[in-house]
Amino acid sequence: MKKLIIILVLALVVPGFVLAQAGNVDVGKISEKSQSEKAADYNACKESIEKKEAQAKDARAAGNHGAAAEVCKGLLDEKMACAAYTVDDSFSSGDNFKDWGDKITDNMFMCCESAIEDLKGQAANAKTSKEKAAIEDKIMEKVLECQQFSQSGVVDERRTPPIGRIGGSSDPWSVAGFDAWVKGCEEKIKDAQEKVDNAKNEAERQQAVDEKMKVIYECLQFGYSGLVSEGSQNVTEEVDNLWKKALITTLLDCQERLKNAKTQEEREKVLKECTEKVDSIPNNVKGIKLKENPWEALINLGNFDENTKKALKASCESRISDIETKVASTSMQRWEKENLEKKKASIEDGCIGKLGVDVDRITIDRINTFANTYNKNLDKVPSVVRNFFSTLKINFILRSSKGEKIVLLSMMNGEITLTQLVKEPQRAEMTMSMRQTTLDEITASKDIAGTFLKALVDGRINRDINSPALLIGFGAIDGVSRSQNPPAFVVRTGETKQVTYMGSPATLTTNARGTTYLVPANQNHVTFVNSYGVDYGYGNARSQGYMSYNTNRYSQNAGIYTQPPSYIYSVVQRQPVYAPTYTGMGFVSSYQPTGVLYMGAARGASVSGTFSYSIGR
Amino acid sequence: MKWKKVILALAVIIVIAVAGLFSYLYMSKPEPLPELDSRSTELFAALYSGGIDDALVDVTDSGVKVAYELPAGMDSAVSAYFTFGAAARVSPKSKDVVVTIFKSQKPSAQFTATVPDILSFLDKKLSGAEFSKRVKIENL
Repeated sequence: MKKLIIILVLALVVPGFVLAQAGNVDVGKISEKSQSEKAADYNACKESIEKKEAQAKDARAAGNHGAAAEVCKGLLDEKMACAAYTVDDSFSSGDNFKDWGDKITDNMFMCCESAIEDLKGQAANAKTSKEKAAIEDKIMEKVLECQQFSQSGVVDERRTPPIGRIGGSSDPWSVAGFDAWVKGCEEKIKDAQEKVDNAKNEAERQQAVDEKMKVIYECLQFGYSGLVSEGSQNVTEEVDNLWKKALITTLLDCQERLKNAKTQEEREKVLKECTEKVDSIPNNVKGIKLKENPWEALINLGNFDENTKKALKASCESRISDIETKVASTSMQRWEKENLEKKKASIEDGCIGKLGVDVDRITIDRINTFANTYNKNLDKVPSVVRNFFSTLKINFILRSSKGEKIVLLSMMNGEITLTQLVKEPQRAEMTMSMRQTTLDEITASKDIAGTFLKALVDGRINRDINSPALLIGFGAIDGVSRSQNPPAFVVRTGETKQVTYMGSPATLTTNARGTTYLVPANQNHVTFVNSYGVDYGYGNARSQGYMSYNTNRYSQNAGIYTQPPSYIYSVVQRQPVYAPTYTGMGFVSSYQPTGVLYMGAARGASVSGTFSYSIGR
Repeated sequence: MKWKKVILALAVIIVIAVAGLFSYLYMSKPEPLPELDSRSTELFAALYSGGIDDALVDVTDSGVKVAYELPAGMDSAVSAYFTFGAAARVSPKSKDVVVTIFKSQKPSAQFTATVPDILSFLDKKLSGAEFSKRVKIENL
């Protein structure tokens, strides 16, 4: 019966790890002893413990953590045995079970710390990276075991803070675990690198490189799913650093393989594989600008021979062209197009100058494609438009995330006869400006005239007319444009309308501030559009409802964001460690708004940095 | 007779010109796409990172307005103070920050603080207690 009570008490007070040790206590034997035997045994137990504690202390002081770990392991058994006397009703030991509980806790921590220190010592003395990595894994296991104990409820919170405090710095276990994880990964990567360096032939080397990447990815996956979820900022930074390392490793490998490639076909294959590898790295890794422009990084890495440069140049041009085709041919929302434009601009950045890619030529090629398509479709252009666009000069300004390009268009009898890239707007009857994506869309359209006219009235093409005749005549062009493209996305405040948007059904609504948005069927995100259905912003349907309270306070752009919330959610990392809860803030018992504000502000700064990178503002 | 034709022709030209001008002035303006303030997006993201998912954010130079449904397990005041910090970082030149908190989709409380006060507190020029006194709290 007593045995059962002790087991139950132990189970309640010292669950998990400690309970496992309870099997060593033979409570039945205690009850069979006489009072004097119990007193003698209890005192002997205490003396032995004191002696061993002194031994463990000396061993720790001497830096012999292995010995300390061994001593404390035996100590735990003895403490458990002593503790059993305190729950014997027929024996008055003078101590209570709680005191022993504290001593057991002390012992547990000493065991943990000594064992970890011992393993750290072993890791420091290990000869190979493989051995070191194995020891770091053991440290991780030990840390997890100790962490489990620290969370069991036995441990006094004031002495050992629970896991997940700000920055992880106040929790020794998470810090130790994090250190072991990072070091273990570093060693595994080092070991993999040694295999790469010692490879005897190209096939072996390639296999070793693949293995190395596998190791890196495994480490990172574990990091993201495990420790990062604890929210330590340090962990996040380390993980980001490892991703950066993964990218650099990929690029260095690409460089090496490119240098060794003998044929154009081989080079193209390498570049294709490299692109895939680079693309597999997440795009929200902080400070990993290389990812935005891997080609620039690759090009900067080393001296390539002419053939390799040629391959890289071709790859640059083909990537630029691929993006242009994608933008022109796919029905995309504005933010997607802008993101692609940014990607294109970064590729251009890496390719201009270093590889001799002539982006101006690419621009003029694009204009010429537009001009040729326009000229071929002249018969489809309404006569009133053709008449006014008969013989004149137009400054054609193409805007992109990289800036502006100005092309002077000369028109004769309605046809575009000359295109010329210029540095400044020239003397001309008209200036038109549009995003490159808009031009690409017009060029790729089957109905070039209709798409062009639609873009003229829906605001995607801006125009500035200098000729009085053209000024007067433009009213007529607009009349034609509007009659061909009447605004379909108009609805009054408080009313809804069913429309088809990008081929799917959507509900059109105008909010309390007079801005109109679309809610695609069965979805919560919204797209803000002008009356011609051109998207310019994104938001949440639910949050629009908040506006009805105190409508006048808000501006017309309230709740409208440059990127869809779903996209923001995917690129912005939650930072649970900074989550505004009392415990998360480190304020367990009382409300301390000043401290909370301070933390909130600190988080604001931190988020700002992450975000500006993440969405590439 | 010849003059009549000239006058008639001039009249026709004037009518066409006026009609054209009229139509240009009143019909031909392309619909401009609104310019968005990217600070709203930035603050929205900052709030999301702290657990506030679907905030209505409106950042202008005159002020920052934020409204959201209080996430489960979060305290109104703590979330409002957090929003103050994030908003002041994102838009330090705005005049004030107004946070309207909804509970079960009904307005519950409104916290207002001026941006200079928030920044003063962050720069440790204003004590926490003093700052708290300056925060206006209305139960709605």
